[in-house]
Amino acid sequence: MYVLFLAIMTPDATAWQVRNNDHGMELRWKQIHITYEVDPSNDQNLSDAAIDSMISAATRTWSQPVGDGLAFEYRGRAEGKINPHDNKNIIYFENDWDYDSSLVGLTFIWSHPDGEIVGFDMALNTRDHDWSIDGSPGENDLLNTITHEFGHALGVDHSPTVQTATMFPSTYPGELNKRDLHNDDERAVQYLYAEGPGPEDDNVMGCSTVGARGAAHLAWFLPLIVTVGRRQ
Amino acid sequence: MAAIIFLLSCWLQTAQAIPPLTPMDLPKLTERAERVVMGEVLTHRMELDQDGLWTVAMVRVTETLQGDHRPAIEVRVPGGHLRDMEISVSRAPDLVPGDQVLLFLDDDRVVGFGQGAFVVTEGKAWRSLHAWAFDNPKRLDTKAGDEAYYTWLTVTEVRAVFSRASASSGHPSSVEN
Repeated sequence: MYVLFLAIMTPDATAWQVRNNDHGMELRWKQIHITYEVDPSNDQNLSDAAIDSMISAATRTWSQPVGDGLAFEYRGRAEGKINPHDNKNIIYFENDWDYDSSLVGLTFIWSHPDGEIVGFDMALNTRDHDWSIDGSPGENDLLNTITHEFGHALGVDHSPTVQTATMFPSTYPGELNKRDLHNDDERAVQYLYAEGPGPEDDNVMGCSTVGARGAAHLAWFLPLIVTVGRRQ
Repeated sequence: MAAIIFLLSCWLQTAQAIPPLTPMDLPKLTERAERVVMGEVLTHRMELDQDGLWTVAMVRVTETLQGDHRPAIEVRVPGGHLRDMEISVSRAPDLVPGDQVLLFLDDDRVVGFGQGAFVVTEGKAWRSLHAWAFDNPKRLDTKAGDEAYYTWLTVTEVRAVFSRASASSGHPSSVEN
């Protein structure tokens, strides 16, 4: 029981992953000054100002852990569509969503065989999902999703087991966890873009076995079981 | 004991506030699928349209477990290659020529984006355990047998599920080429 307890008490293990291309090369920007355009048109009464503000906040969230290693620049408005040839990185809302209805957003990353990312487009599903900017129950929080999708735009893949990580692969209406980076996310972006030797942990492709939220609850609950058992 | 029950109920209530975090199971995939097939990915080509770049894979169907049988079908997944450019989409299935696959399809799309795509090897249909989506089947080369990473169904189990379903409906469940 003691061994089991220690195992479950282990704080969030790293699970972050970076994305590789078909040649096995890690995807990352070499040009660390990343521009983007926005098409704010949507049918959900999200104001242009709110959208711009959320996107800007998401870019700050990802650039903060790496200081000068990343810089984002808003370039203005553009028509939202997926296009690898327009030399624009566009964030837009898609009312005619052509992908699986369960998805709330998708980020397409253009890269060269050596892994250099040269562009991205980010589509948000307004056909199948309702959106808000304040974490309203029953609606997807815009900042929550955009922050996650910007992780993909930077080459960060899903963190499959740290449930409070920004790059955890699933979400639910009203979720706000992904607005702020978890340590797991910070390590990923630092690995890709921070100057110097890189992340402190050696586990580049780590994988935890217990999700953070489940671990917290179990860690709180198990000691009580042990105590009662002893009394009996 | 009362305290334990109370605490357990609190934990369960918290857990229930979060939607299920497990991937779609076989019944859910089956419910959403118009067609379920086993087959081999033969070729793929790229298509660029207003919704982006698509990989269109041609799959030779060796067995139809659900839906109308066709000897070959096309399956469209987002992303792919365009000259010297690779377009990556997280969670998109990666259908590689030569792979044996089990596919749950809605029209020409994989159900659940990547959740309905399995790579079949040694009598088992494999899918990433945590992904809620597909993972690059090429990783099977290094991860095969790593059951901490991949989950699988035996092909026998899959066939049995559809066989039972067809027996209750009176329709044949499986057509093989």
